[in-house]
Amino acid sequence: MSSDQPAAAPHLTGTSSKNSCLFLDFLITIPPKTRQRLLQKPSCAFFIYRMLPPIAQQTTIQLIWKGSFPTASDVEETKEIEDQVKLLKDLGLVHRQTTDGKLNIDTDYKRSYMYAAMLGAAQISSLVLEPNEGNRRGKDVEKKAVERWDCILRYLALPSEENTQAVSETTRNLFKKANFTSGGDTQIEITTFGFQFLLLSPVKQMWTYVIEYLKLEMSQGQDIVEVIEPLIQIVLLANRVQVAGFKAERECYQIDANWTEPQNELLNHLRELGVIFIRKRKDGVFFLTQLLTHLATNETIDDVSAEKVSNGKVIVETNFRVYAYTSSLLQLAIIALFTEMTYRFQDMSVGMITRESVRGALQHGITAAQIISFLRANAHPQCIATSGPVNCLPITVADQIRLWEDERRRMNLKDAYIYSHFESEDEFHGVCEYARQQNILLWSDNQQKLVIVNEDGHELVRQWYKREKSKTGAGGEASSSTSSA
Amino acid sequence: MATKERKRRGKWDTYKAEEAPSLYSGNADKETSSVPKAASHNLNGENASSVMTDEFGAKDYRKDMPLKGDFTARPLWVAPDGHIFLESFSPVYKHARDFLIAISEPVCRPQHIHEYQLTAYSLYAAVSVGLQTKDIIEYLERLSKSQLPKGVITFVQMCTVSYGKVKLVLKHNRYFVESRHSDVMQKLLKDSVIQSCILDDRVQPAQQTELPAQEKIKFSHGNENEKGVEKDGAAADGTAAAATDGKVPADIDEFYGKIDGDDEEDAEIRNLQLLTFEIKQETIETVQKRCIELEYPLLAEYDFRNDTLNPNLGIDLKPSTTLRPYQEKSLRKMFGNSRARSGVIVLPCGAGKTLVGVTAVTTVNKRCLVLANSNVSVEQWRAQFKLWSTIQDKQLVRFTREAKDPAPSGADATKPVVCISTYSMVAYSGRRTLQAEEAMKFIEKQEWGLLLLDEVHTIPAKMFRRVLTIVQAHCKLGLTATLVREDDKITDLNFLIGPKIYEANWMELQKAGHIAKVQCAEVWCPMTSAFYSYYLRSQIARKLLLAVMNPNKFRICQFLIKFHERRNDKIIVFSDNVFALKRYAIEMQKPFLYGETSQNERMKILQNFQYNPRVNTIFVSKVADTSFDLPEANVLIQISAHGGSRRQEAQRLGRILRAKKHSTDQFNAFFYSLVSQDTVEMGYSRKRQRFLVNQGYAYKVVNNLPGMELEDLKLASKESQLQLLQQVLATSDADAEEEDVKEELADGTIRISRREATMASMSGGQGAQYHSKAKAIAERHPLFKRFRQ
Repeated sequence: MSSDQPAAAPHLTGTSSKNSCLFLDFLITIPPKTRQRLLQKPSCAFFIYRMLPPIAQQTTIQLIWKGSFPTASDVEETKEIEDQVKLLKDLGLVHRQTTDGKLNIDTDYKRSYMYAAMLGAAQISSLVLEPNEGNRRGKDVEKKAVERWDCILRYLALPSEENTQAVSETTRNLFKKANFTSGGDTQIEITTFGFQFLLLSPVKQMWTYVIEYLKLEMSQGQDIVEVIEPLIQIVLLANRVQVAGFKAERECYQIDANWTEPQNELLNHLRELGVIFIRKRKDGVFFLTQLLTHLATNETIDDVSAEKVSNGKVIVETNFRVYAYTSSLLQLAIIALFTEMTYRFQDMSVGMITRESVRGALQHGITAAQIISFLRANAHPQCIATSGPVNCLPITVADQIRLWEDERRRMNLKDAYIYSHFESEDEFHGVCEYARQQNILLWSDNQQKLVIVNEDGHELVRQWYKREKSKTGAGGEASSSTSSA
Repeated sequence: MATKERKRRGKWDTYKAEEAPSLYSGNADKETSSVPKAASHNLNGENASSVMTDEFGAKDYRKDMPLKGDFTARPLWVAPDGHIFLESFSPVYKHARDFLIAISEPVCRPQHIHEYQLTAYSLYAAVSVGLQTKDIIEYLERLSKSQLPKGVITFVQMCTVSYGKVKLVLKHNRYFVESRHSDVMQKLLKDSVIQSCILDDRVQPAQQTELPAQEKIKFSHGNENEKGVEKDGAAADGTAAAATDGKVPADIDEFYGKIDGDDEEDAEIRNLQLLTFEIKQETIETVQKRCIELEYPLLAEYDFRNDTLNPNLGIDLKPSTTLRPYQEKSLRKMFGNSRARSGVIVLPCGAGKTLVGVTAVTTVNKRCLVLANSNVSVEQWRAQFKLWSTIQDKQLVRFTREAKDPAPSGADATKPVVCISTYSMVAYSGRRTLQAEEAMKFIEKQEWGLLLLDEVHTIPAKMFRRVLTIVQAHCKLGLTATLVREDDKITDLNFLIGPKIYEANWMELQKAGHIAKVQCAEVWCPMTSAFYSYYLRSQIARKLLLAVMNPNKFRICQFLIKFHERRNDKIIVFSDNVFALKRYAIEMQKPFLYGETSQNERMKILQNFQYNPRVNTIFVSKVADTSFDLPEANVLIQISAHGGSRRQEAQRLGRILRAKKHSTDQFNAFFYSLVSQDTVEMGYSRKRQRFLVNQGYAYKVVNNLPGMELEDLKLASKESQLQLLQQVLATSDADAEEEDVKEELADGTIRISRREATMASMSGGQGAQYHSKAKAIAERHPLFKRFRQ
């Protein structure tokens, strides 16, 4: 998966995505009171600081330590800085005084930040470190963690029975609530949002997941401060995984028996994501995994990270054949969304892009642009070498995929009402005539005795019927769709 | 030559013609009963149930094909169903390419990954050009990323084990059955039918002294040097590559030389004694039939070097004539072991098939009969012979409806000649003029060294058999660009002529500049509403006409013509529908030619098109589909076509493929196919493109031509469009149909014969080929089920 497509980067959180940090975006949306309570928590204050873009970080530091923001004489207040200040204001970290227009740091935030800065990230967490005794960690934790995460993505890309079994009910609900999947319990299908989710970088994917989870909690009236705090505390431990490395194997954290139901729920989610590992519930401890670093990464920096140098695996030929050099089930599942797969070898799979297969994907709400950008982003180095980063997907194929999409737009679907089974000739003509007068008639046929009126017309016709006494025209009214090119 | 035999043939009739297999062609008689059983084997035949499918519905071969350790260095995936995928960017691509062309059918060859398929026929062809079963399996195994599936190995063995073991050789005017496999010989000798045909029942080891005398055949002057250079170059490449990246696995490299080299027989096999026995001339047919029944079909080879009975032509290529590498390669396959094999060479149009033909004639250097499919192309063949070779006028005999050179008589009668004629002329079964009768007698009487069959794909199998029973030739060479037919009769060719000897890669020739770089475009012309409303209500024939006469199509066509004429391009417009052809041409005031245009007028129009700077556009019907050589043309506009015929599309493209003088990196030729939107043309167009798309061509869809509104185009007003519609609706049904098949007859008249067929079959809309393919995949051969357990 590559993050190679800033243009296509969606803002699933529904707020401005220019900060490109989903967590901060989310914080802006929550009620100010709740946010204020978060700012009072040292761990949260510290973590927010970490997630800020560099200029905002500097601004905050200035305000905390110098108590004032450099005036125009000191530094040119560019648009960029303005944007950052606006972000800080939105987050409630700074306030502009109404009297003199000076910027002031929020006192709660200042206090908790100072507290955290003095103690250090690890110390502010209320989690209890325990040495790992015996074999509580088990083998291949890292591998299992990655598998967990893949399971979730795979479920989204290919909601087969087997894959559905592999994810928890809450995740399934979460995806459904987030509008990533549609359909009932048996027939689950990916939506355009779900497909976009699959195209995101792992960091964005994880944060999207977590935030969708927080939103879900919030919508259920849950106090999210209670959930965010332990979440942040765990995420802040990511440093230990990175720095300590080998030590992580020997370190585990107590699961507090006093944790509330939502907090335990959070742990379950993190466990499902693979960022923490719990061998058995009764062990009462959890371990951290490498995946946790995804959540701790500042996304603003992430976009230029190693993710960019992804080496694509997909060759698309001018004859619409697709050759995918991968054995990753996830990649194949994504490709299979819009491709008819024909051969599967150990290291390569063959498929055909056909009108039917692309239309199938389009019907799920996946757009042609998404398919094209996916194929471009994942183009095999060989294709890029011969045809460049755009033409690595043959133009004719890209054009055709767009044409298949356009083809669907040639039809305008509108609801309409069709009347049939008239009781008498007169009645038919009566409806016909009336509809014509009212300018609601779309189509009528004298031989088959059919009348179609537009959506608004139905009510009028009904009234007409009423007026024509209680002579109910047995009007077998069926709603149907007609089309106009 | 058995006179009795000839007499019987003299009064052949159509029925007999069907039955009588030709005399010299070892594998030429195709009667369903006498086709070797192995030929009907099919890797796809396995039952679908035994193929695992993965969660995406793809055939899952992961279990069957464990990867080798160094799989990245190897270029092939060989699927158990006979499909082979080749990475064209692999360092060992060139090692694999020629080998795969020899043993399998190319399915598609775009830029990066090529797909091939193993079939019984392709393996048969591989054997007949000298590859051994063992080598095929061994080399496939080495090239493959994974272990070869057992099914594939068994299939190769099954299809090749009995092929190519026994040869029928005409040497010193005596017929020998020849083999190095003593077990096979024993089997044949024990057979009572064959016993009765043997002239001398002692099986004799051939004099070994004869073998070293085999000398390489040279095709043109200085070639030997070139080859040397090429080889050195290749060797240098190889070592350089090995030195720099070491990517070429040693086993592949080592094997490559063996496969690439002139396919001399395997040293091991060569060490075996060559066993021969002579058979009676009049029993050849019986022997051939019997051998096929015994599953050892005879490969016919013509040892023309040792044929002293037939005099030499004494012609050669001109010193200035040079062959392109692929032309030489194809000929090397044909004359691989110093003898001439029968078969088909497939080269794109414009890639110089004629030169290959001429070179083959000069190499065999015996009497030669060339059959083409139209009078125009007969003239072109004649001109080409004079252009490339040292042939003299009196050695060239034309025999067509228009130009009948007198058959050599008297003292000249025995002198060898090159005779050029058409299929319909030779196969004609009605009464002939006296002159024609004489010429036919001449053709029948001769013992031809080489029979050259031009555009071999166009000829119905029935006509073929007729031709082959009339003409006695030691060796047959078919030439074509498109070995596809919608009716799946292509397999007949394998047994009527011989296997495919060589097939070139279009894209590689294009890259090398041997053929023009063509930009293909499918231009969508929206139907006007008036036309469309009638379209929806009409019968299929009328529908097609309405789609062709769509005013928007006319306007787009006119726009394109204007645009390209301004660029000084030469434009050919194709229309299968004669009504539309005339309407368009007259409206735009351009010359047109179709089936009923006289030969004289045709030549005049073509010459004007070629040399007159004021004639830049001509309208032609499908008579110009094949073998009209128009080297100047570089723009082709197709306004109506023959249903979903892939072959026609490729042939038409071929009209503009001849390499252009100003070759740059840019496209230098343009192919527009105009289709009316929302009509059956769209579907047909998809189908038609399939062959070319599989050769690596890409069609750009154009649904908006910028600048059109600025042009002064006809049919702009609603009134004129409605007027056109009226005229279209007033046409008779006959006009609405496509041009009928036209047969050129020996008595100098053209008779129009109406085909009786459904519209679907005429339009190629049945798509028999695709259906049968799809079916074939669904069911696999029971044999493979057995081996995959």
